[in-house]
Amino acid sequence: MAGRTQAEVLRGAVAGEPWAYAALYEALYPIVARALQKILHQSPDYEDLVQTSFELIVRTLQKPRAKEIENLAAWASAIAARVALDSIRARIRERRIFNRDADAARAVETVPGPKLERQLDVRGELAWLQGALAAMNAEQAEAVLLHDVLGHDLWEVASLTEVSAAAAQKRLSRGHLELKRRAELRKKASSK
Amino acid sequence: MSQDPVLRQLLAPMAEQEVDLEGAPFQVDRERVLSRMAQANASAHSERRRGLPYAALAAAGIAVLVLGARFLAPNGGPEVEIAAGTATQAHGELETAANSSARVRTADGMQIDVQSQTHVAISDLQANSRLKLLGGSIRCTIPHRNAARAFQVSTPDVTIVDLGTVFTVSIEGPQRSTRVSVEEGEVMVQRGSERIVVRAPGTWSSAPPVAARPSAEPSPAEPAATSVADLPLEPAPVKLPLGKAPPATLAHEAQLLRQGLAAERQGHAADAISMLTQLIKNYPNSPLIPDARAALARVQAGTR
Repeated sequence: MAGRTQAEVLRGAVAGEPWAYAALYEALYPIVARALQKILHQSPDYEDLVQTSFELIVRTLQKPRAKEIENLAAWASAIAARVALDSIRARIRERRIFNRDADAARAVETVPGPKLERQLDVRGELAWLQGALAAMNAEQAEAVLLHDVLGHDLWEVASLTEVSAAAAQKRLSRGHLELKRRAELRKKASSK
Repeated sequence: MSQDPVLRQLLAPMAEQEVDLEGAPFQVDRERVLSRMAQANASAHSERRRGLPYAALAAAGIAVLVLGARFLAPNGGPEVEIAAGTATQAHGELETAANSSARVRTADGMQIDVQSQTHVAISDLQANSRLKLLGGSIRCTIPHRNAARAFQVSTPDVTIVDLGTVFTVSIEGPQRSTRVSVEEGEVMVQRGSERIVVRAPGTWSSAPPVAARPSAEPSPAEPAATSVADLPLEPAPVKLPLGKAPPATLAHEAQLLRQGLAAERQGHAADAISMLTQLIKNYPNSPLIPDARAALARVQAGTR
């Protein structure tokens, strides 16, 4: 935002100034990219998700509460995290409906070689984690992502999710418990 | 970050993922994002303008609210320029100038935000819930309605059938290809004999696909079936075979689903079951069958 204050850029964006969009993009793209890539890793639809995140950022600026934004980076990070989480949920929903047969066929065809085991392990862990977060209570999943994946402190999580610190702490604790419970279930299932 | 080692390990695939701002898989068309930001802002801006007199006009038919410097409404006669910030009833074709926008609202709650430099034909909107996008971009907010006809947007190359949703349709580039972005709910795109369901948050374009981006790392073997990491992260548009049902039935299929969902939401279980069952029975090859089955299961579970 070279030469401009954050408040000027936000006002410019609300007023529809092209220079303000460019300034917002330059300032926030690394934040949005970080959130999307950490939660999703690679995606063929990465560009669309970036676009969706910035559309939401601009839309949210029109809301009255936008005047209360103090930490623009954290706020953009939270929006991108929601976009990522929504995309995981939607993808899983799609998969349940349309890809069941295709997945079954692929499982039969796929025989991973030993050199790829580690890589597949990592992808498997990520897929499990994405599935667990998508299936959890949305508020708890969001708190976990913001705090434990994107590194926001509890006060930021509370501010970004518009609840008290006590409520944010409660969501986070319950999210942790739920994640561990799901991990236990998975462990039991795989040991059978 | 949690200090619990179990949690740290569980969250490591995300928390420890490194970020790449330069790599090929993460290239972004900056200009396109900026353009979308401008459109989103115009749309959000118009949404804030509530309580304007055009609500009364909408109750009587189709109302247009102009939110820009210049707006032309050729109604089959001489072009009429409407001052910014005014509302009027309109029919025929609407065309917005640069740096202007308009909102079209119908008596039954449909709302079309017309972006700048956009040309739409709305003469068939009131009677048949059809709108023709001739150029530019519109954002449609369509409530779940128990209406006789599904809302449809026609572009030069496709028809988009709404299923109760918020979506944006744009005509882009020299080839005038159509781009559909779904924010909420879902739409069905019909192109020739092909049907494509696009669900939120999803995007579809009729433009020919660009060459695949080079991968930053060696391509691994296909993961096991339990992994979803290789699947499209966005609800990728799902191409569906046309099946036996002719394309002409598409609007009726969508109508049955919308009416079924509307009845479900209003607590009219018998009506919902009737509509959804009709859809499943009469159009077994419809791409809407999974949604119909899911809704039917919900309604039936609620009546037990």
